[in-house]
Amino acid sequence: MIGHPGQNVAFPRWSPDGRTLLYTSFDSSGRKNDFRLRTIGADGTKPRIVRAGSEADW
Amino acid sequence: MTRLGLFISTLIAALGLAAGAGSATPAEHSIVFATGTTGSQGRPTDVFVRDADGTVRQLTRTAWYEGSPSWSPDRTKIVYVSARGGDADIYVMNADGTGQRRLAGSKKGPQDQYPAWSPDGKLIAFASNRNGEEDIYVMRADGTGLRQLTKNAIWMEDQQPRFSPDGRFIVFSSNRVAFSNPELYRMRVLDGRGLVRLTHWGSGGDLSPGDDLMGDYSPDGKRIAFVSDRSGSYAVWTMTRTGPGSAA
Repeated sequence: MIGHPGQNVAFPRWSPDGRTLLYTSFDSSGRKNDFRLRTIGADGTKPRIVRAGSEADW
Repeated sequence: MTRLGLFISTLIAALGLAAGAGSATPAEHSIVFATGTTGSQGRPTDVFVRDADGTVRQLTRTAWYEGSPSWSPDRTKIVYVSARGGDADIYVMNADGTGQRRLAGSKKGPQDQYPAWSPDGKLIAFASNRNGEEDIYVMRADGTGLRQLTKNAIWMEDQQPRFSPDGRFIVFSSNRVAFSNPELYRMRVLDGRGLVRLTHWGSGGDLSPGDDLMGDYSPDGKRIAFVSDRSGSYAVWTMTRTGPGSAA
């Protein structure tokens, strides 16, 4: 499971090589504009924030 | 409003954010994404590309929502949703933002959403309420040959179609069994038949957890990543292509 306290996630996308997941996190209350594109290894390692944004594909 | 409705409406309402600088990209490929800004100086959501070197290019620039982008398999085109015509329609453009044109939809009427390209680049699947309820459709990549793959009863919604890597199946979310608890299903692209329910989660209660949605096949077709609130909040899970989830 990949989650973030106080946030929801959406739009998971596998990387072309299948090693990484790209997804969007955002404030679960909807009051903050904190949409972020994040990646994480399929094994749960190397979490990173890519940039602001949502609904991504690669 | 159901939990799913609240989740989606939160997404739609808040899809907008200052396009600030990010950390170094871990991606070897360009990422196409949507973002906008809110507030008195806010801008509606547009489509951008972040290249592997970190360069960000804005591809659309309208006063309406432009989002839900998806690369073509050869990465020369992007299919996306635009509300420039008055409602959500399916558009396509070249990877540099030129050649924007509508593939499906009309100026007033149905909402077409969640476009996804088939692995061979010949088909585009999407969700639409053009015949009343929200169903899954496929069309050729040039917008011709529209076929309706699912036909729902009233209030039922099929959403977020994604092709399997071999192009034979589409995974999608549907609340056809329990209105407030969408689950993931798989069907054949050929005829929309061979329906298989992939997830079984939730009580069906309006505000109870139980949503499984936004499935995406891994490139080898062996696993599906999806969003679920089975842990109490919406998180990304993965499972085998045929069965219940295991933690990513």
